[in-house]
Amino acid sequence: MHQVKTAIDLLIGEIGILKSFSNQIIAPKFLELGCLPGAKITLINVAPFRSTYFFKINKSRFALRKAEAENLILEL
Amino acid sequence: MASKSIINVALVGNPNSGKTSVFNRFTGLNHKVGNFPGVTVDKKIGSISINQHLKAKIIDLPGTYSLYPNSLDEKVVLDILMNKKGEFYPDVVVYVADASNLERHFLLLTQIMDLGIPVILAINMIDLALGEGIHCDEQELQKILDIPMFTINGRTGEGIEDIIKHLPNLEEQDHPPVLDTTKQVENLINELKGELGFDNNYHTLLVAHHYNDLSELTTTDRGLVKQLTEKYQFSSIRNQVDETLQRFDKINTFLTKTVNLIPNKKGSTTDKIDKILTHKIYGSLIYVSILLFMFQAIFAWAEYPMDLIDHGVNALNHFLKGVLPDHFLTSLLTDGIITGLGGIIIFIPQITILFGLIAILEEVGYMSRAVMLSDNVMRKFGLNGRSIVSLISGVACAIPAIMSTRTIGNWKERLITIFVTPFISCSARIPVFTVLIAFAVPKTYYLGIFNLQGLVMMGLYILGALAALISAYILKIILKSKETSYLMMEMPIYQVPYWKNVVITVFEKVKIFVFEAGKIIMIVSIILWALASYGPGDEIQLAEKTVIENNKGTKISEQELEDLIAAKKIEVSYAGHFGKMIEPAIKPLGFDWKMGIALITSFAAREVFVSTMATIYSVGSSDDEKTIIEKMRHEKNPETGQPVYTMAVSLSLLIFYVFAMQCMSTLAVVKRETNSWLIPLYQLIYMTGLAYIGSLIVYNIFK
Repeated sequence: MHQVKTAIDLLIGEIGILKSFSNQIIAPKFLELGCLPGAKITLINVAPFRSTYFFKINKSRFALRKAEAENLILEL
Repeated sequence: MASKSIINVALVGNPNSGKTSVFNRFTGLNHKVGNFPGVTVDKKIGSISINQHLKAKIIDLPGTYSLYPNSLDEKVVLDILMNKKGEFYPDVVVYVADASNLERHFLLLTQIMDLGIPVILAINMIDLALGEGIHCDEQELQKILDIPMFTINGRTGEGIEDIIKHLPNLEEQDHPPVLDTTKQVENLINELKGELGFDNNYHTLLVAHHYNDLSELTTTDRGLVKQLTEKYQFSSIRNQVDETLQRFDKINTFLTKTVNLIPNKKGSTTDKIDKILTHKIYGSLIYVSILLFMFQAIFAWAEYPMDLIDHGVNALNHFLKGVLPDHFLTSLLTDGIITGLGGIIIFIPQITILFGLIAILEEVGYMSRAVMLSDNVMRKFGLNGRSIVSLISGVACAIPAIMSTRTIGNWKERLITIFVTPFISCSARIPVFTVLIAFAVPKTYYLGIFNLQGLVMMGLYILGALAALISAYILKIILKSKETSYLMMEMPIYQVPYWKNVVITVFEKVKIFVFEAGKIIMIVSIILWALASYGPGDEIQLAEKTVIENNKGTKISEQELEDLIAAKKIEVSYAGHFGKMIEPAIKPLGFDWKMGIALITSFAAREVFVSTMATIYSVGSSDDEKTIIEKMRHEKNPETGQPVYTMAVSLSLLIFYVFAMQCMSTLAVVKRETNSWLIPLYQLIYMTGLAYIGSLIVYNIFK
């Protein structure tokens, strides 16, 4: 079992706290959206086939693809 | 600054900051939409008079989160704010920030302040923030930031007047940078400043990041910057991450002093709605229902105004031909210009309805959810969730649809969307479908409600959509791209649509259609008129004489005689010769030269098929589709004596019109949007090739 929990491991309605990013190239894109370590991430819904995830990150809402959301490493 | 008589005011802000409403409040309908030079990014500029001596050009820049661009739109913002010699370089930036989320909106604000451009801060939607329990000490915030600050409401217009009044009193803003970004890269910055003569540190740092995207630099400059960044081992991503984190630290020190959150118990309405609308089952069902409703609306609601326009244009032509002398200018005016104009305005009702609905969904905040729900399916076909907006728009007209692909950041996905959108059956195909279905399909009812003709019509739409998706899939495999594709999209809150924005958006789209498509439809119509009115040598005059001779003594009415002459004239005209020239090529599809003429004239706009057929079958004076259908039904093949419009021929023609690229205006727009001749050329060859093969197969099956 992997020890890392990412945003896609959240259950619908569950809240996680962002710890870090696993991909250095995508990190600045998240940062400029105000998605900083310590941010409160709530999973609101998942699109059919678990391809797209709908999160509330702090006060804003974002649609992220699975490959994008996987980069958000959460506090255990 | 006081000496200037016109100042540039740039509106800048994050996406969803309410910037569009603010722009509309500043300028109303009094603005021009175009492109920024050299790129296909929407440029909206409106001029306003501030007082007798001062005018302001309000420039709406695309929404962006930072000065580190991810898309074409965002690169334009960066380039304009960096290039002091540029035409659009602002004398002042009005920065629109959403009061509910100042932290995030202040990132770009502090970046612009550090570039040394004077900024007016406009804090928007403060009422919504208060509703969420966010209280802001504005005076304290203004003291800290040390820039002019106004609270505004883009939806009511509150505060806009205050900003306009402030514009004549602009001052240079000479405060120390919010963030000194140069510490870690001091040597690089200093050397760059020395070499290129810059004085602003942050400006120089951004040059080191984005030198490839900046128009202010010459090729030599770029080489130099590249060399220096390598020499000092400048890591762009590392530096961007550091800068962003440090800025947010700084911003938070401002905001902890000025913003208080008093939590209230009531949960956010948007979250409640999202639980249903983005749900994988209910959300998808609602999404499909909305799409069906939109299609239904375009057909049902547009019919009446379209009939009205059609009859109006015909009546006007009749009237003019009656009162004006029989001269080639009369013919040019009626058959060339007015018919061409009619061909343009006939589509306005459908375009208005479809873009009205899209604009409402956009205003409400639903469109982003639709993008999210479509992204998965779209991505399988090499498209992007955002492509769905273009594909839906394509049902009205491919031109605005192709222009709306600009929000797709990934070039490959954008290109594929542009390439396949014309497969979606647009409104110009409807009249052609209607006439041909009447031949090919009996009017049978199933279960009392399903009309077989209606089902076939729907099938043609599905066929077009399938062609679009399958072609996209093929392109996905063929095209190689290293660019990573992102969705990463912010979802706005749900709100009641602001009608002024809807009206302005629709107005802009219709204007784009009328001018972009209109001018080409117009030119092609006039060329076609000439081709159909003139022939080699004196064949046209001879034709008229022959018809009159042949019908001497018969009891046909003057009207019928005129129609016969018109039919004979088009046969011997250049258009007729073209039709006969391509007949060998289209014979395998079951088409004769008369259909050949119609295929050629369809390049102006597909619906011209119907009017061309009317002329060829010498019912040109009739504007009734039934007459044309009746005439076509009786058309016999001179060799076999069998009816020409058999089911096989009609189906073959239908398939041809589903697939073929027959619209000059679309090709012109594709050329402009892709900045390439090759892509529209490929599109023409591919789509028409597919149409040919499709028709060939269908004709041989049903023959």
